[in-house]
Amino acid sequence: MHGIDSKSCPKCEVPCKELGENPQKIYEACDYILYREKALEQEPGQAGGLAEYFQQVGVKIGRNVFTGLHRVNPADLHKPDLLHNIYHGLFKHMMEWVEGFLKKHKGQQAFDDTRKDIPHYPRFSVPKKAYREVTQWQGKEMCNLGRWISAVLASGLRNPESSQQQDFNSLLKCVSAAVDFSLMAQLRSHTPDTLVYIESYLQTFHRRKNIFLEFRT
Amino acid sequence: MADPCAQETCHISAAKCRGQADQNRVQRVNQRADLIRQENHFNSIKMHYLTHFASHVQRFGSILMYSAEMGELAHEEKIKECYGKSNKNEAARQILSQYGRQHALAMRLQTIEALSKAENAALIAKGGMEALASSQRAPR
Repeated sequence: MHGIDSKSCPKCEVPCKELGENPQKIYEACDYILYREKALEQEPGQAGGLAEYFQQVGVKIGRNVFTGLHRVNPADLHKPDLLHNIYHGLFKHMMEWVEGFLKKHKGQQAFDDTRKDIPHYPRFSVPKKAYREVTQWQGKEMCNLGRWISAVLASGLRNPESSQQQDFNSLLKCVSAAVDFSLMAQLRSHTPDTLVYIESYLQTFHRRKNIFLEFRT
Repeated sequence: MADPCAQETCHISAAKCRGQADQNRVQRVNQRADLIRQENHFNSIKMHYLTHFASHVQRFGSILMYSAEMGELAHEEKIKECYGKSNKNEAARQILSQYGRQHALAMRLQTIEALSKAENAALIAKGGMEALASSQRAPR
């Protein structure tokens, strides 16, 4: 609807190579009025320069659905979505990488055993299957995952050999940063302090994420 | 009046143009996807969205309000279950009336509950009065 490419950000002109990069870098905000003007100026004969520019900023068509609506800023219409960005985005990918990590370090058995030992708790149901055996995840289960994952990982990886110690440490820090970020995002009210926390957790995650680099799925 | 033959060729060329444009677009989308895939696996749009969370909170408030979870749950409860209860003939009308029926039923249940409470209260009050009266009568 924004008239942008399928994998580009409606808010800012982030190049497609830097989507997973440093969150501190600030990109220029999308200027939909400018795109429309450029598209209007364009003459049918010469489309070369414009197409190149649009490709660079990830825009498909200059005149999108919202063109001509005053007081509508298309960049503001996109809303972050906990279910799809965090539960089905961040957590799901993270678990795939954690699985790869466990497989490499042969910690899967300990991980599954610890997971089965979690006691009952209000609003928290004990998972019956091993993590790998569950094929489909619901939002609620993913939400629960945020509660047990760091504790279970810490317990499952409690006996590292000397060579593994550093890897285990950075894995735990990375996972806990992601979990902290998701918990902070779920807060119902925010203060300037919590916003600072959100940013700092995200940065910690990005600093530590290289531990997952080899577990591409 | 325009020549029908010329009109037809015009149509065909327009269709061709559109087909060409579609092909170009598909090609471009594929190129872009390849570019994204070449980078490491953190390079996904979902990862990038996370960077906008804090600024979004500052401008619009809590993120929980905008979660898609509510809408999906409501879809499940309000529409899918009601569709299951309908006889599948003109289902939309039945789904809409289902909500009204549930609402009316809940109201009636509440009324009955309130009435029964009031009745009990009246009974107790009556019983209390009688007991009082009998206790007053007893000394005589």
